[in-house]
Amino acid sequence: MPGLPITTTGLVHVYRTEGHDVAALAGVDLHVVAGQVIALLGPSGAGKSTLLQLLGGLFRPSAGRIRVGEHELTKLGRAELDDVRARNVAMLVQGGPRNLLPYLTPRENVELAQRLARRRGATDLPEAGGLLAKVGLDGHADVRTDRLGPAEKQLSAIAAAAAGDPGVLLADEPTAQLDHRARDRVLEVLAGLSADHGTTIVLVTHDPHVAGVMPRTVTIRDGRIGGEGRSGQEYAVVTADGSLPLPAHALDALPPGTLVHVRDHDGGVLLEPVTEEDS
Amino acid sequence: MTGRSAIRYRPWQSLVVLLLSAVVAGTAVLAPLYDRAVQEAMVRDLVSDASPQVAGVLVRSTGRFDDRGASAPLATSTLVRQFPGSVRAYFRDPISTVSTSVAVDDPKLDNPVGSLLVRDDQCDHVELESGSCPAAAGEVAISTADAEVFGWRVGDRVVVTESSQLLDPPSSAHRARLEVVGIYRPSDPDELYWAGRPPTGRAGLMDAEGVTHHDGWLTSPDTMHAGSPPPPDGGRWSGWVASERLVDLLLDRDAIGVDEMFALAEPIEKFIATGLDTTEYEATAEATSGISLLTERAETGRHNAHRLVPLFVVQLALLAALTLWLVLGAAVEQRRPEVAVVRLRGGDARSCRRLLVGELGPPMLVGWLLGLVLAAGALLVVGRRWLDPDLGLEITPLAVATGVGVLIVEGLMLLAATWSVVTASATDLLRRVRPRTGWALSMGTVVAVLMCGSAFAATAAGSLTGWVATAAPTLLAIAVGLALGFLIGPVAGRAGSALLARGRLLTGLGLVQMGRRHGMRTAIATIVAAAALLAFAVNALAVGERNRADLAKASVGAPTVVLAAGGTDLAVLRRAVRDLDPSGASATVAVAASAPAGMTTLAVVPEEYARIAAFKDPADGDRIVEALEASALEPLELRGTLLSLAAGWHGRASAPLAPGAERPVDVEVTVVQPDRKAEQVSLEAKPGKGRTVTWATADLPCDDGCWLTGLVVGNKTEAAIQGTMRIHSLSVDGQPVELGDPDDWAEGTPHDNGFARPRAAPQGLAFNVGAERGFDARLGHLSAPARLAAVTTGPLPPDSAGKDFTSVGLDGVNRDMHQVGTQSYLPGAPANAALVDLDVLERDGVDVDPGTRMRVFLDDSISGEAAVETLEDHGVAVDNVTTIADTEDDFRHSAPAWALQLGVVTAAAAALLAALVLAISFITSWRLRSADAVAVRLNGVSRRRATVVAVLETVPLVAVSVLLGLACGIIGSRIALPDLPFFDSPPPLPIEDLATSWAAVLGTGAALLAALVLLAAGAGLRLGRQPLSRSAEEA
Repeated sequence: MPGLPITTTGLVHVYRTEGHDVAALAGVDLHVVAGQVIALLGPSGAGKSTLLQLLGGLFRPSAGRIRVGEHELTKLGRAELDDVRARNVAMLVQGGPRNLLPYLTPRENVELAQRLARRRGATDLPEAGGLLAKVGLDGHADVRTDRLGPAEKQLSAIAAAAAGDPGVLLADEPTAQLDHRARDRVLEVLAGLSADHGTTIVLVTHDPHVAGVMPRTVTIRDGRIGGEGRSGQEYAVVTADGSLPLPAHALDALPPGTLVHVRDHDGGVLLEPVTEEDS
Repeated sequence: MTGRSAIRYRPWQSLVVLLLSAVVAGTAVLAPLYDRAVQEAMVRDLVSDASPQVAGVLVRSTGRFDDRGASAPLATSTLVRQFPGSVRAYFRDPISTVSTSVAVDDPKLDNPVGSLLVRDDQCDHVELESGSCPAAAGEVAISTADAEVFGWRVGDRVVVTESSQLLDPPSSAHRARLEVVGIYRPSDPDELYWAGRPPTGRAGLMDAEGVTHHDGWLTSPDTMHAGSPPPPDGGRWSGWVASERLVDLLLDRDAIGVDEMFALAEPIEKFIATGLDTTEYEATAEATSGISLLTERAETGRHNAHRLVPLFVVQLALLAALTLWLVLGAAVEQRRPEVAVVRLRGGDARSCRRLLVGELGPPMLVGWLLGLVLAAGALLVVGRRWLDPDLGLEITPLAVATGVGVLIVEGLMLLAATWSVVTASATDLLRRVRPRTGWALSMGTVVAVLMCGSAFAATAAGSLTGWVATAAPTLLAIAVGLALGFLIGPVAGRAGSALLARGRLLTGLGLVQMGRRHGMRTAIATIVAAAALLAFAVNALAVGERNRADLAKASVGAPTVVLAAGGTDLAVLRRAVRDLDPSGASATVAVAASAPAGMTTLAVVPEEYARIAAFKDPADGDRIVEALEASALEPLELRGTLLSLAAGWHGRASAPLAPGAERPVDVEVTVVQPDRKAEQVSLEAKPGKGRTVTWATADLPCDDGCWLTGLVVGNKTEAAIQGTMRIHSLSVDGQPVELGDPDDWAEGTPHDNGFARPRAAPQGLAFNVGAERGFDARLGHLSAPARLAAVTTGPLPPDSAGKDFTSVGLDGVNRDMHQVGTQSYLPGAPANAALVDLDVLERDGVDVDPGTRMRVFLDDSISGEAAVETLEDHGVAVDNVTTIADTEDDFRHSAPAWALQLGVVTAAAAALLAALVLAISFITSWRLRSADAVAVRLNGVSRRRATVVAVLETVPLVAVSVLLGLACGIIGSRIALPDLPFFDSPPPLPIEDLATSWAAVLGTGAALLAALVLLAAGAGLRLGRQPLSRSAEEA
């Protein structure tokens, strides 16, 4: 299946816990072009994993809309969401083993995923052996998963996730706890999936090296999009409500609470902090 | 494919599920199988122990004899034709006997009477000592006993007359000459063929009317049926007039099982009640049978089996099912991440369920099959050991239904266990740490605790009875176990935190970790329930054994009891017993006289009885001796031939003497000899002055000793007399005999026409006397009191006055008695009995009624064989020998005993379940325990202290669970045991003792506690002592 575009509009999610509510996402507007590979960055608790799980239809947002391809996830029932996950959106949760049945081989894990997809009407699925060869597991295809190393487990998980030929692949920390070589191999496989199949890939990472090789990065901060990186360049993103999250270095110069003059300048905008004399 | 891989991945878990499923199925199916086997064994025992009179149908036909002449009884085929065809197959081929009663014409032999008979195939069932089996008309074979007693030989010709009330007086037309052609003995008189009526056993016996008997004479069919034995004088033979045909239809004992026994009842009862139709015949016919007695007892046994067999196995199945449920729940929880994978890949609830059932279902199914096999195997093993060595496997519809039912229940259990996980969202499934429920309870636990608790409370209050009541221990234990499992988390956690805050490191850490072990909830509930079931099973088993032993002791009376044949002479018997045991320490006589629907009088030698009889509490024997001896008085023993006594009579007024009388009063002494013959010996008067008379006697029949038991003052005047009699200077053959104090004498049986009241006198004895004309006044020595002292059991007769009552004496006549003590029961006596001193009773001087039951009680030092030999040497015939051991064994052959024996299997299985579940909980929580151990060590706790913590977190909890379980079992026992029958029918004696068998319960409880504590401690030690790196690896 070719890649699917992803669009979120005003996405808000609040976790209700004992005693208080926590706003994990506070209005995220995100658009991912079909077949694009992006990485979500941000500190712990910023809302990256929440955003990923919402994109995977694991739960409903508190407010806002999510569209994956032609599916408006926020309007789908549970069975329909299961259907979307079986055929269109594949999820890789954090930790390779958590994406696999440990007593099955990589081949059997792939075949299980394909059985589930076929029950939902999926057709023309890639051959399991070919898929495993593509991720470099042809030599380990029939070894029980719990006996594989961390890298092989992660690659198996990717193969199982890709078994249903999804339009979108969502991966939470796919390179966590892997050594450099394994990390690079995983990134290579993900890139290959996007290139060969056009799969839209959204991954969450803390690793700056991973972020560095991604064609596009989106920084989540305090539940909002705090910035983007493209082709090595960092950008601040003006949000729908007109706010502009500043990058960290700009915050040093303009800490929160600073009064600034906003002046037009050479086709852009200049921010001048107000001094005491000015005030 | 997925399921197979998962099973191979976690083989031990699959094995545990398999084993638990097997236990559930096996115990559930064992119940109906064992119930059926118990019923079969019970019926088999009933039928094999039953006499032929009971286990068969007897059809009797007699011919007609009137003015028209005589007709023969009906033919066998005619009689059997009316027998219910639906049950004919359960009976052997009919055996017919045609017989009549004949008297031998030989006054020298006292004209002995006996039967002349022909029985089907008789020659095949006797051994001929000489001659041949009778074949022609007029030929007879006599018994060896007859040949010995009456001197008949082969070739002798004997003239007989038919002996019947119809022929009164006998007629010569009914005389026949018979020829002895053979002398026989029955191959086996007890053989079923004879149906309990062997032809021998009466040779030379004289009945109550003084008629001598001979044994049965076998003759040929021609003699009884068509042919004519030759009349002695050549006259006309008019045929037997009073012959009867008896047709025995005996149960085919090999063909009778449970179903057949109950199929017999109605047709046979109807056959007996309706009778045979003889309207078109010239004869009568009637049928009798004791089969209804058998079927009643079989029904009682079946009822008891239904109640008791499920007693343990159902509770064990319940425990196993609870454990299986908890293990399934834990297993399903453990598979949440795998179900999450299926959800992530778009699987729905059905796919998730397929994943879980695919792994857990096959072991449950295989376990179910294994359980069926185990049930069959267990039945054959325990059944052949306890019930019947030849027991076969009988699969009943109920067993099949139970098996199918268990399969369905297990299937539903699996579906229910998977429900919450397969319906959970992917998000919930993906959570690494489930939200702590704290004090919150799962709905299932709440329901289970409420149901079990309510059922137990209702049972304790008496609202629930039956098998639910007998599950009281398990119900209570489940409620307690689940509640403890729920409470231990928060309570231990908070207590541990509080202790840690106070610096109590080891105890605090131990409690904190105890609170974290949510997986232990399964183990706790199972251990509590298993300990309860073990305590209950062992207690019920021990209490049952104890009650059977007590009833055996109480009903038999002594370790060995020999029953002398009816009509035995008591004096001869006592001599024989003294010869057997001169000291009286090991053998004693017990004589019982019973009245229909009244008390039984049991006469014993109190000290010997107290020593030898099987009292449960030896102090009871001492109390009896004390009570009876308190009123006993040494007899006045006389030994010699000449009695001399000085006596003086002072009458109030003189009256004319009665015709032939020489003095106004005469005196007799009553003496009783050792053979209990009482005699009145008159004192020959010597002339004296005035009113003083001195008497002396000769021919005192006391060479071998006798007892002076009373004095009689006879009124020899024509009017009433009143005065004082003084006696003194009693001597026998010149040897003085002390008369004793006035208190040693009492008025004889008072009556309105005479009295004799002793009073103090300066010398000898004085007593005021009064007697109406023609009546005597009697004075009795209290060594032979008019009112016997008795220790009683049961209520006194309705006509008793205070403690005075009457009960039958040895002569069959009621005696006055006085209650001097009571017992709940007396060994060897029925429920309502009066125990009296035999020596005192013998001084009554009355004959012992032939119906009196005479037994010899023996302790363990004398065998029954030795006693029988000694008695027979003294000419005492023995009817049977009974032992407590044999009686107890008989009690063990009952449905209640067989059912309670399952307690052994139950206790062992419960203990194994507890150990299994505890081991599983350690295995499944090992990772978490290792992680905690690593954390503790990394925080600076030494290996030694970490080991203590690892032990403390489990051992106390296991110990408390076992102790709580034992307590639940004991409490539950107190509620359940009163509902349990330990015997087929309520015991005839009040021996029931339901006190907890502490030795059994505490012994097995201690063993379970030790085993589980060792297991828990071993796991803790292993965890604490292993190197830190190993713990980290396993975490």
